[in-house]
Amino acid sequence: MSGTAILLVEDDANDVILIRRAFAKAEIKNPVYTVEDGDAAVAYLAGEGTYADRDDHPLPGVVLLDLKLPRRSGLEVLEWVRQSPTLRRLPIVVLTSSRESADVNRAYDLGANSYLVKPVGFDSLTDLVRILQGYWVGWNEKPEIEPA
Amino acid sequence: MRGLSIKLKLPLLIGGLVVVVTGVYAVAAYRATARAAVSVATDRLGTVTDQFADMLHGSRNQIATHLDSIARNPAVVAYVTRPVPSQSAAALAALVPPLERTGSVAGVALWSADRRRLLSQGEAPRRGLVADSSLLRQAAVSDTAVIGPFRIAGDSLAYPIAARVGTAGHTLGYVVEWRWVAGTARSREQLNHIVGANAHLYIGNSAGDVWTDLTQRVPGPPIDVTHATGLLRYDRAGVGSIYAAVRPIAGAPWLVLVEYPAQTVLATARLVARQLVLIGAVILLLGIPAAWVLSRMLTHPLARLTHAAEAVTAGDYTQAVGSDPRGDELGRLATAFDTMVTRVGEAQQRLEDRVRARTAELQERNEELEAFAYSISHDLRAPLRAMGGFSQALLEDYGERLDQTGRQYAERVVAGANTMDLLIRDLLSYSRITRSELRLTPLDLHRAMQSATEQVADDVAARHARVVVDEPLPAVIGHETTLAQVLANLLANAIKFVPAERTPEVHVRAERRDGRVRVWVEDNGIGIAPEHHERIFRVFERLNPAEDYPGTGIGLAIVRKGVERMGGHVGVESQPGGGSRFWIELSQAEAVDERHSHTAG
Repeated sequence: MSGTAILLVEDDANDVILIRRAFAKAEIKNPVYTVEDGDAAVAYLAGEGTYADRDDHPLPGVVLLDLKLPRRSGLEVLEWVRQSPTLRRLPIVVLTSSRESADVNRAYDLGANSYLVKPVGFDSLTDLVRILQGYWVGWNEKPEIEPA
Repeated sequence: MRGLSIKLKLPLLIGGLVVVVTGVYAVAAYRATARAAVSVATDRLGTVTDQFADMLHGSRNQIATHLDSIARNPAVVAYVTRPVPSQSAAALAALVPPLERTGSVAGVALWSADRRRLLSQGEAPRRGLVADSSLLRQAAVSDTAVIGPFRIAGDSLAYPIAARVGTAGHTLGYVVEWRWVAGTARSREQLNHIVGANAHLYIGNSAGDVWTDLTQRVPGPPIDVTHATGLLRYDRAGVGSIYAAVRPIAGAPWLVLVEYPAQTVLATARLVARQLVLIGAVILLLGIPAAWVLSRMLTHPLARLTHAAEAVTAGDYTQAVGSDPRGDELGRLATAFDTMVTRVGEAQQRLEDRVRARTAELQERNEELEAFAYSISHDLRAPLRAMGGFSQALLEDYGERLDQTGRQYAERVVAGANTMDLLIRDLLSYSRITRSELRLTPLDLHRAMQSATEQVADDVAARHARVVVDEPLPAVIGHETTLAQVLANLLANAIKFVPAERTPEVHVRAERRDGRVRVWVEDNGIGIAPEHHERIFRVFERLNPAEDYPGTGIGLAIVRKGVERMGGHVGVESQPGGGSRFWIELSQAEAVDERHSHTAG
């Protein structure tokens, strides 16, 4: 179970460090892979280019997706995944700083599995990461993802 | 007439005018013509009657001369002087009229001076035709024969002529002749024809008792004409209205009467009147269609103008009256109207364009504002998270290497970041509530209250507060998310502004007031002085130091804005130290639509 990979799509280096630290704090052993923009996220999920080797870059069990990303926005990545014949069932949790209802509604419209707002307090972030791992990696039943 | 269109009114008016003018003209013309005709007839009647009187006077003279010659016959004189039988044959021979006149002579008789009949020839005595003494007396003093009045003999008429035998002052006797009025129908017609114009000629006694048309006896006129002069007018049975003139005949006790049927006299006048009426009818027949065409020509552009004006009233500026080739007033009006409509349409268009442009501009500004808020929510909070997160990481991971002061600084950075996060969140809430479009629906106040209670659950737990809600709560018109936030802010305030040593007690209840619902949120807090009751609902207004009662000063501003966006009001009743009673008032809903209450959550 500890082997299920988590893909973190996040362009803010500070957030990457804080989230990784929260994972460590919560003593979560799952490997966390990070990409910094929308195009990279698509390339990773498609297994293209530098992400072709699935041993180094395994298909994640859940994607933590920021919305505000360089090049391709989080919503575009979400749309791409949901239209992909092989990856469409992949659980995607939006983890962003926007509370705008337009963003929330759009994300759900495009098929996000959950929508979380990054908390400012660090304790809250650790709690959030722990719950997130327990729910999406632990309790959540994974769909069948056809190999690319 | 009032409701009729001009198109109908004009022909009716013209038709009426034609009828009236023709009628008046016909009557006037008839009268004038009739007057002229009567005048002409009067002249003619007078002339004709005079002529006949003269003519009859001539006939009378002839007759008198004839009888005078008999009176001078020697055999007659001799027999009258000495009436002996031996002389009678000669006298009788003198009395027998010539053959051509035997038909018209009823008889001739000789009378003695003492007015005894001496000798008689013809049928006159048998028919009762005997001279009366007044005629003989007249003859005695007359130099020529005298004519007597008509006398009726059975169904015939006769008149006597008497002449004196002898010399003036020495009357020997008289000779009296009776003549039948025995003109033929043909001669009568000829006579009438001479008079002309369906005229009838009558002769009668001066006394007016007997009248004849020269062939037979006829009824006299219904009025007394014996002393009449000038034009007479009366009705004759079987003929109708009559114009007549009467004249005495000189030397005879007769009157001559000429009658014209009024119909004949007035025939010309009637013909003129009839023709005038006919002409009027023709004018009417031609005039009404002409007036119809004319009124159509006049009203058609008016109708088009009206149609166009009605279209403009309805907001359609494309309905032009159209170019009118005629340069008259209506044509110019149509052109002016079109120009006006075009101008108004253009002005309207310009106005609409400007409104559209302004709306687009506002829309753009609004989008900019939203982008700004979005930017704040993302970009401003990211460094904030870094500040808070790394300060906390510093405390946790390197806390033991910092001294007390260093740790306090780091804690203050964390607290500052948290406060700023709260501030940004509240500002964004306020901005969202101000900008976003709220679709108001009937909703369950109870559900909104539940949602609000959940939002403040942490505060309730932290202060061990007691929140009592008087159920059931009525349905209201509002926006559920907004209402929940408003109630949550009120609850949070009610719990927050209670001195630390006191257990917060919050009482929520609702009351109906004239179709509205007032929700009270009452606390046992520090209270607010009346002079601050209005201020506290403004953005960033704080009454208490943040050290004692932390907060952004936006909570009540969100409450007021949210309630106002839902068409309601807010207020507070409070005294320092006496707790506060905040209220919001919203429209009451008849009943919550079940679909709304299920989907809105």
